[in-house]
Amino acid sequence: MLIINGKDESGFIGKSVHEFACQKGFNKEYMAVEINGEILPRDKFDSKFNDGDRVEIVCFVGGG
Amino acid sequence: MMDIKDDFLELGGHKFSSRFILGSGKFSLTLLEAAIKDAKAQIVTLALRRVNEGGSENILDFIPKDITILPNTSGARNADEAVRIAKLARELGCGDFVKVECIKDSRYLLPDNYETIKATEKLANLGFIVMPYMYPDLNVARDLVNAGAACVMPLGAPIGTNKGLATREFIKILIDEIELPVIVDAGIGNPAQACEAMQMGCAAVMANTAIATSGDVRAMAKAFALSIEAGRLAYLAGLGEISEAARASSPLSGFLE
Repeated sequence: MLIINGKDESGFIGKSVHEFACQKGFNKEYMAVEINGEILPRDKFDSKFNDGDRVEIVCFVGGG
Repeated sequence: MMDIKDDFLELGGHKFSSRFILGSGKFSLTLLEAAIKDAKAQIVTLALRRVNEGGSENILDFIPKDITILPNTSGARNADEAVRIAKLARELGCGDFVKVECIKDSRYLLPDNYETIKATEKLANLGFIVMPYMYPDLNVARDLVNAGAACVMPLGAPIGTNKGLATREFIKILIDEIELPVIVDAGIGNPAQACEAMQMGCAAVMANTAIATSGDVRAMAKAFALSIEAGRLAYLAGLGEISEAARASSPLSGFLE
C-alpha cells in the first residue's frame, strides 16, 4: 500500500513524485516531499514510490 | 531630533526597517499583497499544510519577492514535530527563518515552553534563525537565549483573541532582562495595543487576526504600521515621567491682577 497525505494512493506505486504531482495538478515549485520520515530533495522528484511508502507532500498556506 | 530612519530591527544577522511582522492567516489571497504593502511589513509568517488537490494557486504568488518568509511550526505538539515542520519549510527554499510554535493545549493554544526550548536548541544547531513563540517567563526566556534563539516572542494574550497585552508586566520583565529582541506575538487586537507594546520597548509586534478580520483590511494594516512606528519613536524619544501630584505646565508666577 502507498499512503500519500493520509490517503491510499496505491495506484501510484512505481510512479514518480513528478508524475503524481502532474496528475494531481500540484505545482512542484511550491511543494516539499517527505518519504518515510526523510525529506526528498527537490532534484530527486523523479524518484519512484515503493509499496509501503508513507508520503507527506506539503506547501505553504496562510498562517500566523 | 530623534529619527528612526537608521533604526533597524536585527534578527540573525538580517536588518529590517519595519518592526511589524504580519501573519498571513485568514486573509483572502487577493487582499494579502495589498495588506503587506499597507502594513509596510518586511516579514510575513506562513504555515505548512498538506497540499490540496486542485489547489493550483499558492500563497507565495501573492507575496512580493523582497519579503522575508517566516514559516511557523503550527500543528507541532512537541519539539520533534516542530523540527520536522521546520525542515520541510526550509526545503521550500524561502530561507532559514522559523517561528517555533509548540502547542499541546487546544483550547487556549498556549505554547509549551519546555518543548519550545528543546525545539529552539535543535533548530539553532541546524542553522535556523529561530524565533520562538513563548509564554512570557523570564527563566524560559533565558533558556531560549542559551539555546540560540534570535529573539523571543512572548504572547500578549491567547492567539486570535484580540485581547491585547494581558501579559504586559511579564513582557516588561523580559524587555528589561533579555538582550535579544522581544517581539510581542499573539493577542494584539488593535493599533493602540501595538503602540503600547512598542512604547514599552518591544522590538517588534506581530499581528494577524486583528487585521485579517477587521472591516477594512488595508486601512487596518496601515493603522498598525503607523501605530508601531509611533510607539517606536516614542520609546526612542524617552517617555516623560509619571507623577502622582499635578505639575503645572504654565509658569506659576506673573499672574494678572
